[in-house]
Amino acid sequence: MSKYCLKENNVTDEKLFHQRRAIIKSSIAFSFLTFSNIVFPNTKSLSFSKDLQYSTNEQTNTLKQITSYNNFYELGSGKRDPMINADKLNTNNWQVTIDGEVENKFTLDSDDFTKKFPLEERIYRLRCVEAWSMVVPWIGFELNHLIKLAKPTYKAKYISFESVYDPENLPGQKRDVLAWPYREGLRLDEARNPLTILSVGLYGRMLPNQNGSPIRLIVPWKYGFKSVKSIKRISFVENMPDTSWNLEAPKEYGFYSNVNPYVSHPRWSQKRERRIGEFRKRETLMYNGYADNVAHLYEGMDLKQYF
Amino acid sequence: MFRTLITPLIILFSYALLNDEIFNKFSFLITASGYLAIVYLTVVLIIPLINFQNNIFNTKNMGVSAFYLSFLHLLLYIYDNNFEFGFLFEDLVYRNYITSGYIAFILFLPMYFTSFSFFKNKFSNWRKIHKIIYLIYIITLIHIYFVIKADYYYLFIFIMLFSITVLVKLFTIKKKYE
Repeated sequence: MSKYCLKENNVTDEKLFHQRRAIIKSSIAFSFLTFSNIVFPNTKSLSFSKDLQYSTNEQTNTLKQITSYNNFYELGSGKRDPMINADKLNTNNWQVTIDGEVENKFTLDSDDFTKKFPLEERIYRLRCVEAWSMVVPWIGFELNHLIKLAKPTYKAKYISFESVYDPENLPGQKRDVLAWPYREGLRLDEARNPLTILSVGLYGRMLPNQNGSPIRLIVPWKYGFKSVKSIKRISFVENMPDTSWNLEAPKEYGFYSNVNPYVSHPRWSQKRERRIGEFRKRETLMYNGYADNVAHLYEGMDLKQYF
Repeated sequence: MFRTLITPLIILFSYALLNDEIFNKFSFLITASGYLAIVYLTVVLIIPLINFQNNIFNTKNMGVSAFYLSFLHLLLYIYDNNFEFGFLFEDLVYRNYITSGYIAFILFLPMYFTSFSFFKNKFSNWRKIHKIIYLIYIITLIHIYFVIKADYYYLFIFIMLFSITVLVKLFTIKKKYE
């Protein structure tokens, strides 16, 4: 018998041969489910509607990419540190204080995040100042819903966000890497823009700790560091608030930090970006591709001065 | 040379390309080749002080490997930017960490060439040329300082190692002349 002849027992059963695609799909689904169970331990699925107006139809990054490649300096400055140290962030009995120049000061607890406001899935591009990007299916609600509830007074011009401060447990806060707690800010009209959301989940489940659980800001036309994670306090203020990266390096990180390929950055050229998962870099779009929705906010401003 | 340079490079590239948890492979390879270059440079400084050399850990092999690693670091960066001259020139002129990286690399060239017998014979003062390693190291530290966003922990380790090495060297020289 020629060495190329197959015996009966070497041949794949016809039934199995026809099921091969289903088998491959189920094994992929199994590995996804296994990974998602590791990433989302004991987290519940969220009820939400799908947004069609603002979401991109680009290919989303995988759950593994979104949850394993992060900047979250409270959990460490390496890209994998937030995933490795995720359990160091204690989100039990989390409350967010809303105060400052508002008629209605209040606190939100974990239940309020998912029940008080209408949740939507928003698939946004996320552009990091380090010239990489992702597409993430966030679950969240428009920040404007919260603003309406708080009823800002005429004095409120900006919103200041303050993140978690827990140096005993958070490894990154044991050293003065940044001015802790992490702070960010938006102009009130930026905060009211329908693109600006407070996210409580991704891929249909509550946020994993490394992505800023239990509640974080998403401002898709600004560099990623503006989208502050694990928020504890939202204050309406009259003057432009301090922000952590601006305090660290004022020449590099301006208050606005809009994605802008035409304004050179001292550290990274912002003309191109690498979409995580892709080999070659792609061109960066003005306002991260959201110019139609936000360009009017900056009309008449010198974007080189107000970077 | 094979064991000093090629083996770690094979491990590094295999790790980067086969590990599906390294999502930004180019960025990883650029960073890793740069850090490996300074680790090799550190070993070059330490070897004469501990008076230990073998086929793998010797100043020539480690020094030449450090040069190849920094060259790879530069090539990966250039490739990552599509060999676009205008883009690379803008980086060179406007970004401190790129400028300092180029300076360190250019200073490395005379040290690299005078590591081979042909040039050693031509330049009798090659030992003096090799003292440039201290300047290369300092400029490399500056290069790393400019590239770090906020967490200077690893830079601090390299500064400490360099300072200790220089102090021990100075102490040894002083003792020799006493």
